Amino acid sequence: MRDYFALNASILYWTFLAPFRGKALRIAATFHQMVRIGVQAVPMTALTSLSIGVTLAMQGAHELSRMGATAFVPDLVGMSLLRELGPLLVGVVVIGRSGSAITAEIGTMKVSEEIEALEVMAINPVRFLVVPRFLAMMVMLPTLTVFGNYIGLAGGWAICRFSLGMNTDAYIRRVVESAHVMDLYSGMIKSIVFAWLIATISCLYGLTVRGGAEGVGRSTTNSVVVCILSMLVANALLTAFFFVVES
Amino acid sequence: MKKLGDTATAATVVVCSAIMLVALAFALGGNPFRAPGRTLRTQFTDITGIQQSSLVKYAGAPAGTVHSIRMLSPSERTASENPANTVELVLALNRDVPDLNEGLVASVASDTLLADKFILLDGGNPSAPVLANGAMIPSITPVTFDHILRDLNSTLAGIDGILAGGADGGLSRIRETLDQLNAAITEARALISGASSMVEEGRGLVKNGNQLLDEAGDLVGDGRSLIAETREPLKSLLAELSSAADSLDDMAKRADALVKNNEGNLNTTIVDARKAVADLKVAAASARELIDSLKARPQQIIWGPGRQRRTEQQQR
Repeated sequence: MRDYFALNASILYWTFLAPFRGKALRIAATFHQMVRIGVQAVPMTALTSLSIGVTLAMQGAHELSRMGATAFVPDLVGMSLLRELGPLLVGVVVIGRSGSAITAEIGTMKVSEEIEALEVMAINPVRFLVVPRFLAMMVMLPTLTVFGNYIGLAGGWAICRFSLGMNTDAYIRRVVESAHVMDLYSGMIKSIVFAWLIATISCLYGLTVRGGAEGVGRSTTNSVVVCILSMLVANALLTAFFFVVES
Repeated sequence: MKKLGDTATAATVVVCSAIMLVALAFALGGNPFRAPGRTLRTQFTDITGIQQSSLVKYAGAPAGTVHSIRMLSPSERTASENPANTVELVLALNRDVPDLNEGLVASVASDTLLADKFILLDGGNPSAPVLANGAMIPSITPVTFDHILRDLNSTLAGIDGILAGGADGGLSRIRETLDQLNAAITEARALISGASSMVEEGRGLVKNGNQLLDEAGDLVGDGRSLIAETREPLKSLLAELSSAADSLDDMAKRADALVKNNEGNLNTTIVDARKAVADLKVAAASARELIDSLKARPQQIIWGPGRQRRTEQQQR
């Protein structure tokens, strides 16, 4: 835990303080990581969100049709995606795809003593390796969440339009009327927190790998598990926080 | 070149995402930078389910959002028309909403029990003056399912209190009432059984009545035909009677005139008649005596009357 806080402090320093002391951010590396973490994850995120939107709409329609309330399917899909499932599922996808990659990449550099080589060359590994990934994650996870929300809503629309016979205008109006802007903001805040957790935990497990290739695998597994668990716990805490704030 | 490509790709994705996020935020929360076209104010006692940016509907059509919610201070409540009002809402109306007239009433409504609540503006008199920007409109707090449940809860609590607290008097009273009710039901049963026999009798009466009605109907038919047949003769009879009455009247007049004209003669005639009657009486008495004497002595017819003694009876 102490290493985790130390890493966070170091990240904050190299991100917010060091640029004002003549040590600029590695913008190109950051954009490169943004492409790797975010842009290349768009198809996977889109597929996941679409399937979740479709599933939510079908399940909702199945249950709500018992009460003759299929008109509320857009409400269910909109609220669920914006508040919870959008940021959570995109987070899980990014953990599985990019978080594990970050741990494995940095862990491999660690076991091959590239990190020590950087330190020998007076290059801070946090500044050189962690900060670009951290910034990329902080930008791209909310970005992917926005895409995921839209695509999930499109999945719900597909079911409402072609299975329930609801017209597109009515679907959009119901979503807009049922969801509040706070639902969107809470989802975005969650995705920012998740991005922080995923980036820092993945980098920490990468920087603390021991034991060669086997250690890299073990660290990657542990990184994914801890990221998912910490994200779920943070999600519960944030939901409780927003619940208290809104009520 | 590759770095430039990465930068462009990432920037494009981020910018697209930012645009989509802003669009979604505007769609859900409205444009925060645009001042509302017009506002109306209203006060409520209870706005459960209403929050900032809740929908405002005019006659069911979306017409704006709730711009702000403010709780009233005690002094404001006292100064208010209805001191029970506790919160004031500012309703921001869309620019496409036409001028609203006085008489508009705001209420908290929802499409269904499960749906979100909104502010419903209803009514308004088209010939009334147009409401000014920021005007205060009256409100009504609708009876909601929660209110009904609350009232029902208090009612049940009251009943519970009666049943629990009135164990001495209440239960005995209830028991007495139930006994009375039981007796009343028994009497009602007896009445009902008596009434059933009466109903049976009534049915027979109704049957007979029906027959009578049938017969009466026949009689009425006959009577009608009789009247139809005898109408003309009766008319002529009545006409004749009328002429007869006229003749009688005429005759009576004539008799009256005759009597008046011959009144003196009649008097003398009557006096003479009286005299004649008196003479006749004397003659009758003499004849009776003659008959009596002849009855006693029929030979008088041959031998003449001679002397005879009066009987005692004749002397009396």
